[in-house]
Amino acid sequence: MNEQDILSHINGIFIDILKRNNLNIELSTSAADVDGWDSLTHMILIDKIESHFKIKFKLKEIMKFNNIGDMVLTIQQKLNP
Amino acid sequence: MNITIRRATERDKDFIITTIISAEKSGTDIISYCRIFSISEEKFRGLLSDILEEDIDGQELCISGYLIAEVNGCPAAAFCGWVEHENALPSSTIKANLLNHFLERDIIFQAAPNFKLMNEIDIARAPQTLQVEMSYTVENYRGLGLCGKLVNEHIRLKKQAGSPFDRVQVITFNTNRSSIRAYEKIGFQKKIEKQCTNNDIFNLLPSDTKILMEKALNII
Repeated sequence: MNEQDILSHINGIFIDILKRNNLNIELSTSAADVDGWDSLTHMILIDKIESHFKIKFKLKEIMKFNNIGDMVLTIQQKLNP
Repeated sequence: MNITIRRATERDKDFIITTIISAEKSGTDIISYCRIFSISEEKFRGLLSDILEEDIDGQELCISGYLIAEVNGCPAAAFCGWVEHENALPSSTIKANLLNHFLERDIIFQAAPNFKLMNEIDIARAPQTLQVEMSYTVENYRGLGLCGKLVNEHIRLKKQAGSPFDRVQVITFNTNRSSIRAYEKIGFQKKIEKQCTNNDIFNLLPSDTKILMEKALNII
């Protein structure tokens, strides 16, 4: 799965959780850019993303997610070791 | 009476857990984490122990973020401090990541409806401010001004380390009157008060109103 595919799946998860059909997540998007992406929603989002891609982030990986691009890169590395 | 202040270490873990639980209860028997995630106090203690062992800075569930005041060699008070958003992530996200890592998936999903209610009372912490949180003084040592000494030491140490901040903030419940008085005594003023209008909040928190208090550093 390439970067754009992963991004598209993540965008779908965000739309589902945040209930916002017009959401367009980009690699540079961070929590501060998205209304409703607060710390508690963050927990649900991470869980949904993990179960969707059938992966589990390490704590040290997740602590380095400054934006969606960091998350996409980690997912890509896990899916294509 | 000999009062010393030192940085907490792994050996203080039990005292820090007592500190967090006492601060959480704010004079009631409600621990918000237990109510939000429907877990027992015993499970919460285990969760805290796991999280504290990670010692991840920038939020209140981190051993090395605490300073301990000792009276005649005995731990008498503790207070956590960090500079908000000093590194990459805000404290709320760091804490969410930790909870997410250590709590079972079912527990998180079951708690989702509570998250919406919690958001109604949430007060955002300002980036690049010194945050102090989770203060506790052992009953026998109250009235010695240990809370103020710990805050001032946090300020001194963070300034010494070159952290850029000009304000100190603390968030507490309006029912925590003794703490509010103690903060006012050392120069904090109420800045933001946020009340939840849904009475269900009392099932999750000790109060329906949170207060952000602030101290400008030029009045130290």
